[in-house]
Parts: sequence; structure tokens; C-alpha cells
Amino acid sequence: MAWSPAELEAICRRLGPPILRRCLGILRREAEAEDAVQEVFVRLLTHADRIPPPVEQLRWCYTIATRVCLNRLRDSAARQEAPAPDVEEQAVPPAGPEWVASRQLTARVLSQVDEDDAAVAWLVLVDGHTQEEAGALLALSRKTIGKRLARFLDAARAILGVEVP
Amino acid sequence: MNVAPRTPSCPTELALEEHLARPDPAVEAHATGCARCRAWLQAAAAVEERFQAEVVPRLVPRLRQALAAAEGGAARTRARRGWLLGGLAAAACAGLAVALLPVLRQPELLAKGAGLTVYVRHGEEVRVARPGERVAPGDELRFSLAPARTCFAWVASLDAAGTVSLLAPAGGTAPVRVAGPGALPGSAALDATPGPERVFALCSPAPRPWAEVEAALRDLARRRPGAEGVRTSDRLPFPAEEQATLLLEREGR
Repeated sequence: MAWSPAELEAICRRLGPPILRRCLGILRREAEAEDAVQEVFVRLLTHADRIPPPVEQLRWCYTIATRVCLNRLRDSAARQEAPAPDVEEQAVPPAGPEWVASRQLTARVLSQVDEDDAAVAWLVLVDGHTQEEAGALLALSRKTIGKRLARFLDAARAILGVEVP
Repeated sequence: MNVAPRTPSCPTELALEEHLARPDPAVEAHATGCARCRAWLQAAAAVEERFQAEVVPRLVPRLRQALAAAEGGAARTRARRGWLLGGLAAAACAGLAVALLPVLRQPELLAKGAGLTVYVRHGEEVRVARPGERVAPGDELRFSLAPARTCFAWVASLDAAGTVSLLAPAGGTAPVRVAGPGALPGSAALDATPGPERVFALCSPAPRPWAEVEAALRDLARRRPGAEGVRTSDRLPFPAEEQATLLLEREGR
């Protein structure tokens, strides 16, 4: 589908703010978040036939933005981007889910897990969604969410060498 | 969106977003008494204002360019696939067609296997190699495994000339014990030999002698010789869950 300039601007103005907020929430850097917004829109607009009805679009965008941003975090680990100089000193992260929000630790773990495991972990551990809600967002069963979460936590324990929730 | 972390009683961020799109009395009632959620909503309004005023004018032209590029890329991919199908029917093109297969195929990293990740350092840049990744002479490779349980690992490669190279542990006489996901010690530098090179990671519950691994690779090279064999042979005669593989395409100087 070819988007006219007016259509493109309209969909950007309607869906862009929640996407940008989601990207800022995960990436924490404005320029990077803006790049991620563009990537989200390219995904949305190149698969226009999959765009759901308006009432479902917010959740759909939110999920895609989550995946795009987590992939970017993971890729930043692979590129060894901006390593924290004191990363070794962070060997014992703060207790509770806050540790997941630490970019450096998160990037290290994300580099070892697949996209679905990462999205599950973020939605449940960081965002506070129930496993049922995460399953609905990712179109996965509750049982699959549980398995993926367990796998993520196993990987995190092995990588970080600490007990995580 | 630099606000305090949510408490367990706060709505999720998604619920707040939905409240912005379609006001929810329950969320409104919570936000009235919750400084954190009020701050989130205020910050959300500020992001909205900045997005509409500053980001949209930048984003829309960039999106048009990106969509045009994506459309061009899709057209090229379609053309390539068409050529590939035609090429597969023509013996003269078979070699070139096979060269494209790894690129068009689904990623072949074995999620349930040893979980091999290959990192390529090219100058100052480090990237994760994808199936069919093009690599240059002098590039440095590092390997990371993510086994489900403790295992003993060898990482080796096979090229089109049938050369078997032990990559990790380099020059080792015993496999590396891998207790969990992580990078293996050491790295391997690529020489200037062009053509495909397939990296195999083997991680077995008990140490397996290198001679057994080497013999399996040499046997594979005998049975499936040349570049085509390297590109299409992605299994060694060991249990599937103990192996993972990645194809690299080495560029000449």
C-alpha cells in the first residue's frame, strides 16, 4: 500500500506519541527512541494489511515498539555500545525487578535470549503485566509465557551469577 | 518519561496509555490520589506536545524515504527470489543459486541446541553474525554458547577446500567446560581464503575427544565436498541438541 503524505502524517500524529513514550521508557535516550519510533512505523506501514481495527491499534503498536526497542538494546550489547565503565562493579544488582531496568545488565541478558523471551520478561518483570496480560499482548498462551519467563530467568541467573526474582 | 517506578497498585503503563486514548474512571480515580501516576500523565502530555511540534516534521520525511527504500528492497528481494527459482532449474546457475540460499532461508541457529552466537570484530566494529554473514580477512571471531545445561564444547569450522580448523579452544587438547550461557575464551582471526566456511559448535554432556569431532568433519567434507557441500551441510553425526552451526561467507582481499 502506498501512503499519501497526508495519510502518513495522520497516522504518525495519532499513533506516534504512545510509541515514542514506550520507546523512551525502554531506551531512555531521546535520539535513540526517535530512531526506534521510525523503525516501528516502517514495520507498521510496510505491513499495512496486518494493521488491526483502530480499537486494537494501541496495543498492537505498543507490542511492536517493545520488540523493536528490546532488539535495539540487545544489538547495543552486541556492538558493545557505551559499556558502563563500572560494569564489573555492578555484579550484584539491586534486588527486585528494578535490576531489569538497568540498561547494561539488561543488554547483557538480552544478548543471550530470543526476542519473545525478552518481550515476555520486560512485560512481566518491568511493566508489571500479569502473565495472562503478557500472553494476550504477545499472542502466546499463559503456559508459554511461564516457560519463556522461566527460561529468561535461568539465562539471567547464569549470566549475572546472582539470584533474580 | 522520567518518572518514578510504578508501585504494585499503579496501573500499568499500557493501562495509562489506554486511559489517555479512552478515559477510564478507575484509572482516573487512582491517578487523582497517586503522585507518581499524575506525574506520568503530565510527562505523557509533554511528550505528546513535543512529538506533534518537533518530531512529526522530522519523522514524516524520514519515513517516506525509509518506506521508499523498503519498497525498493522488497522489489529487489522479489527479483532475487524469482532469479533464484529460475536458477535452481538451470544447472549452470546452481552454484550461484546455492550461494543465496543461506541468505533467504530462516535463521538456522538452533534454539534448542548449543545456542551458538558468533561475534565478528571488523576493525572497531563488533557485530553478531547472521547466517551467511560476509566476513573479511583479518576479522576476528568470538563464540558464545548458551547450552541448557553444563556441557563440554568444541567450536570448529570446515571450508570449501575441506580444511578443518579448531577455533575454540584454540590449540586446545580438551573441550571447554561450559556451565551456562557466555562467551568462550579466546578468538580466531580469519585468513584471506575466500569462500564459505561453516562453523560448528558441539557441546556434549561428557567430554568428546577432538579426534572424534575432527573425523566427523573430515567425513562430511568427503561426502559433501566443495563450496556447495559447506553451504548445505549443516549437521554432524551427533545428537541434534548437542550441536549448532552458522555459515560464514569469507570475502577475498
